Amino acid sequence: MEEKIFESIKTQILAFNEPQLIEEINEALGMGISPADIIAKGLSSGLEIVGQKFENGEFFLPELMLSGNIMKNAIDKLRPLMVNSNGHSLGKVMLGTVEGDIHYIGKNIFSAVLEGDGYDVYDIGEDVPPHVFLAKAKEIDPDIIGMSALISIAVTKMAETILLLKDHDIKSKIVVGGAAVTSKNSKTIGADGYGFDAWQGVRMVRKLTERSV
Amino acid sequence: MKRDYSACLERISNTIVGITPDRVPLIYLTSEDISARIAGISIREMLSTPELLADKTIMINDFLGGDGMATAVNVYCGPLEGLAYAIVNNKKEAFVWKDYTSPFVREGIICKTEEDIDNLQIPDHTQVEPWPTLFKAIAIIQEKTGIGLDQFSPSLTWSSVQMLRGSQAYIDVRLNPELLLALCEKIYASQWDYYQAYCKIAGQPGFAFQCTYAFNQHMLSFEDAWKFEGQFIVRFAKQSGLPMVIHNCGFKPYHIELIERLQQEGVTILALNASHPLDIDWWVEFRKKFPEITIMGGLHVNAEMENGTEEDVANRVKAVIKKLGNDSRLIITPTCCMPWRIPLSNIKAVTDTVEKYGKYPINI
Repeated sequence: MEEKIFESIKTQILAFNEPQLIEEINEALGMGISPADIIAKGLSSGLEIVGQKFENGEFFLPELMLSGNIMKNAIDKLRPLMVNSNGHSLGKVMLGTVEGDIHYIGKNIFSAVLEGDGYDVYDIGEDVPPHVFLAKAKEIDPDIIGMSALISIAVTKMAETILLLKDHDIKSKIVVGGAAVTSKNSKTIGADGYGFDAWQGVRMVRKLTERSV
Repeated sequence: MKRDYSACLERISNTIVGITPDRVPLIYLTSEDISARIAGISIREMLSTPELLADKTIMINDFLGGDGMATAVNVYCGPLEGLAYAIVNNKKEAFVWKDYTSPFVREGIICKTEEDIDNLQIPDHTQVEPWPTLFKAIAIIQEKTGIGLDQFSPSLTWSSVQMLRGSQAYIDVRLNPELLLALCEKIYASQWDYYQAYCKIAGQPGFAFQCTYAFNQHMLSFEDAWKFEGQFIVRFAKQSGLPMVIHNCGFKPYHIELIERLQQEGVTILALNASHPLDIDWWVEFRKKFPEITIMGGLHVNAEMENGTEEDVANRVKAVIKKLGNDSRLIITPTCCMPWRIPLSNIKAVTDTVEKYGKYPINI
């Protein structure tokens, strides 16, 4: 019976049908299934399939973003109930677009999928100077700092920001992404991880926070 | 150092029509970032008068070498089109000036709501700055050097969609496509106005350097990219009669599918400007499939040029010339705009390598 409801939850995620998804979640809760199990065996499994379809070229950013949004809303519904069922955030991720770059679309999509995956996301905005990244890193103490740069010219500022964070002994792992960043230049500028797209970014965050990818 | 502008023009023109030039042409796509670095003045100062912008553009391009004449402040319908929208829609707070790097529009503010889309005003490009200054500068550059007119660079439609609507546009693709198409129609109207203003002030361009940012496999399906951008490119090509140079600096572009579809629709494609795929052999196959289309590329600005040595850069340029130089139809074009972080010595390595190995007949 539980398997059937988890399958229904996955189906609704893949159909991007939020009202029906919420109904399925309510039904699962009514059956006494824990919020943690609903997330792990229903929602996360559904998002995993979305990610696979994105990687295979069957889904695109609209689907990734829609599924991320409905996942986030579902988790927001479950989160208050999780305190009593050993539920907890998978980690803190601080995201920002580096100084000189205003683009936020990629960052927001990444944020939606991360939240959907169960992470607490702290979005510090766009055009963020290095010293603000540093101040926010000290304040939030995130497990992961994600930096985005869409335009080629912003990689310079990304490098400067990473140097500043390391100079100040910030221990958070740094993941970079966005159209201007490549696997190679991410290593050159001192990042710990790179994500070509939002889904690869989630995989990298999972890896760096020692979750199964 | 002054260049022989007529030789530059002849080199590029011959290449595009398939005549063997004296050597492989080289075009640098400048950016506000590197322009400010070379000119030593801020972007807003450069945009203060058409004369100053023209002088700095010539100086910067002469400094870089090669055969192009890209305006110091990027003339394509990206952020500066966003500025024009911000001005005429009384949302100046959406625009962020940067003195020594590219200015930007905060995405998703100008068309945050459906009502914003309904009420969106189209800029008059003959009146709303910075366009008149840019167009006048292009006219001055053309008068002084005989090159530089062919910078007409519309962006139908996705660049503007993302600026105006932000990430909500990706939700609209699925949940509100009619609204998104209504926005695309307004963007088309604005781009048509941009074209008419360009012709009126700068002169008639020979082609459109068309940005095709929707056509990336990690963003939209080809069908959606066609629906929200491709069909507007076709309409523009038919209405203007202009052939196209296709620009796409995405990492997973739909080059083949897009060019085939555009050609089926009767659009003339002169050249493809792209950074990806990075595999030169992919481009060898592209050449076989589309022998009449000039390849403008060869280097990704965030690869060897940014992170490699002069030798790495030279080796890449040499390999591209060897495999794609043939008898013509190759223009070495580091893509996309060059960031500040690129060492000037690596830029010089591109120029020197093209000079050394790019002379026809190619002998590497």
